[in-house]
Amino acid sequence: MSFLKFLPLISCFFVLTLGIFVLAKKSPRAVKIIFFLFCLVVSVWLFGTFMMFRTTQDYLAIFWDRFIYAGVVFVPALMHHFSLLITRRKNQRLLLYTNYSLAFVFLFLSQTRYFVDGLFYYAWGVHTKAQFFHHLFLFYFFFFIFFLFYNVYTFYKSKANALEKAQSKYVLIAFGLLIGIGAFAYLPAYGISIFPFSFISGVLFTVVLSYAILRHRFMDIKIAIKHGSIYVSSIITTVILTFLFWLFLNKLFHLSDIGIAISSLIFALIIFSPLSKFIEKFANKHLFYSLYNYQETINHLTNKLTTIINLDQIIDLVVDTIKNAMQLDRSGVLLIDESKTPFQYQIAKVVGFNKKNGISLVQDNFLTRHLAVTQKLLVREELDFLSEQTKSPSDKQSFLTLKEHMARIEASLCLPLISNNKLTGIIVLGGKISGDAYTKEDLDLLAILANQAAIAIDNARLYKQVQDFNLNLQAKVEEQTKEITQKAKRLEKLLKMRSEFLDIASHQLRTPISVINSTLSMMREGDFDKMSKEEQNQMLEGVYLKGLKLRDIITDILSASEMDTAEFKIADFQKMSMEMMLEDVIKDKSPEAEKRGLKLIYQKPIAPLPPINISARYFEQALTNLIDNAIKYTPAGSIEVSANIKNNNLIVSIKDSGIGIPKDDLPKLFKKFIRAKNARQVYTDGSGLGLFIIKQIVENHPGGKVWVESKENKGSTFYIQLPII
Amino acid sequence: MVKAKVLIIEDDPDQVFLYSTKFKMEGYEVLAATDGLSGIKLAKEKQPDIILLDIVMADVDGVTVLRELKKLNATKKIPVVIFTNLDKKELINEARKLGAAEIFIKTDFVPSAVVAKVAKILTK
Repeated sequence: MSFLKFLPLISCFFVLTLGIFVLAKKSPRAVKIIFFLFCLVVSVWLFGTFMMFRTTQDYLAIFWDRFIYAGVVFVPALMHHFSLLITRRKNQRLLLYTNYSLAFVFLFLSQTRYFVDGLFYYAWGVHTKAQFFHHLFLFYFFFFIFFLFYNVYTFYKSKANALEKAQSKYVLIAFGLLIGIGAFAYLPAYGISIFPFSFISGVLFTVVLSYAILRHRFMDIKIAIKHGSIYVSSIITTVILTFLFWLFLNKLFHLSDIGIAISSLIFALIIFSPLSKFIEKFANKHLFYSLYNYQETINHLTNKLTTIINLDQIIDLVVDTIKNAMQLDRSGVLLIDESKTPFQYQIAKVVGFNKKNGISLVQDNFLTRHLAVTQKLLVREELDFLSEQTKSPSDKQSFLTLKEHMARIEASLCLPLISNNKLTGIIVLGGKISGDAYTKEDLDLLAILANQAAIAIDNARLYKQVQDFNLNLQAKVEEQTKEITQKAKRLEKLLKMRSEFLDIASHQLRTPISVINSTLSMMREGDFDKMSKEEQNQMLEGVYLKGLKLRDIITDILSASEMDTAEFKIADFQKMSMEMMLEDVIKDKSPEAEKRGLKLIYQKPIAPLPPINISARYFEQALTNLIDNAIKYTPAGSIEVSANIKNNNLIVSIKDSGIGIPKDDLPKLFKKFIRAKNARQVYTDGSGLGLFIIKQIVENHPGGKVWVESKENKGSTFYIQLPII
Repeated sequence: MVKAKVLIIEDDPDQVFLYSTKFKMEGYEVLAATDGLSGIKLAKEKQPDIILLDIVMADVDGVTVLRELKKLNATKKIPVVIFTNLDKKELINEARKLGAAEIFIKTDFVPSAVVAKVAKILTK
């Protein structure tokens, strides 16, 4: 068990190395000094313990024990101070001064007999006995030790960022182990025989904190572990293991020295290679997490990119994967939109960057030009160098400006996306969360990725263009189809209207013809002769009137047909006297009115009417039709025709005292084939086209209007209005 | 001797005169109505042997009258002959579906032909 006596020494070695290492790092700050001092006092403890176990002289044991306490008394104060520094606490100053003061007090006390005196003899060694002040010391020790844990824990819970949280975790673990296990070392001072395994805590402490430094940049120490160091660690580990093997052999077997030596050598050679591979793998996985894991990821990404065609997916993949795999704090992609002149950048996606910042980076075109020309990635760190190298003074300044800019928005790396020798976009990356710099492998990897991404993005954009074009095409086709469908519908409607027109027109024509024919057939068959004179007269009268009716219907249908087309335009306008026309028409219609016992009155205008621009032929037809209607639909009474000027318009009115028009029929009155209900009862054979024709005629006179006012059973007044130009 | 009772429902008085004269000459008793509603009433009351029905009429059109005639127990057995100048397939089909005995276009048939048709239907 002599080996175990070396344990404290080995522990001491680890701890002291860590302390020196930390101190040796650039920019020593208070925290590193305090940490070094702490490691120093712990080393004192460990070394003293080692020496104490080895002594055979009592007085030496006591000496070394006191030596130990000389270091240990400072542990609480230094731990406290350390915790204040790493948690950046400003308070607890008074506490700290008290702490240090007490430490010095105990330092003094520890060298007296009232602290430790006498020895316990154990199987494994000796230890001094604790005296009165030792008990006090323990209270002090554990009380103030507590503060490190308290401070770090509260820091972890509240103020720490992600990185500091990780660091704090390891701090708590390391110190926890150190104190938790190391405190067992006090027990032998109280007569409790515990074998001093607790010194291993020093090793554990070192290992945990070293990990924190390596992986989480604890105390801001950046270590770029080079591959060489893996080699070195492999050797060291091999040596240690071989040494243990040698000890083992020595203990168990009684071989010759040469035999043991050769066996050990063989052992060493056997384990070295697999050991170094293991260490490399281990280091890659846990220390160079960045390098190992993301290499694969980025390779994977590069391959995947060639299979995706959707632009958004590609962008997402690129931005997220790079950021997560390489543990970056920010990443983003900017794409150039060529369709606008001058070309514009669009943010495809940014994570961690402010959108404005992303665009501002490319605002002055300097970055664009630079990347377009060099077609290589740009690292912020090299901008100083580039600035020095360049000859152009404006470029010098631009490089520096760019550097400041990038520093401000916390961008570390710009990767150009090059396609067909043109710059199509930029991948902008922040720094690694761990604070490590980009290694050469990183940059090589990213360059390949940028290449692939450029191609993939290009393809995706083309694809999108095609898709958009397709959609556009589809929309246009639908539009055209809609137009055609609409036209077809209208045509269908027109055809339907036309066939209805023909149906009704043919009916209207057939009716009088059937009567004429039937009558003639009866005459041919000799029935006519069998009829009485009265019957004969009635029949002849009926036939004659039907013949006239036929003529009227044909006229109406032809007029309506002609006027129904869009091409119907009255052309024969002439300035003429309305009065004269009215008088003519009334003269024409008077006999018929008389025959029916109706009074047809012409109300002369108050003042002479100016001549008006009308078509003689058509307007006369309209007037005649209106008066005809009035006569037809007035069983008894009078019809008044008048013309007057009102508001620069000539208004002709035809008022009758006839059957009037039911309110329901008023809206449709001027449409084809519409006849009011009550009209049929009085005059069943109307073609239904009269008013339609009148309307067409009047509205073909510029500004012409026709309308009716009527009350059922009271009579109707029809108005025609023409503007006086 | 009266051969049969014929009811003419037609709103043009000239045509009514024509057909009544002819049918009377051929020895039929003729009843006439100039609108659908009175025609239905007349049919119910006088129970003619056959009805000649026009389609295009003032207030109620012929098809509605036909439907009504075929609904009423009093009149549904009376054969109805549609005679019209409206040559519309849908109307003709509907009239046939409703049970019109015969449909013909006025201009195609002179009165004597009409009488012959009526005689044929009555003998069935």
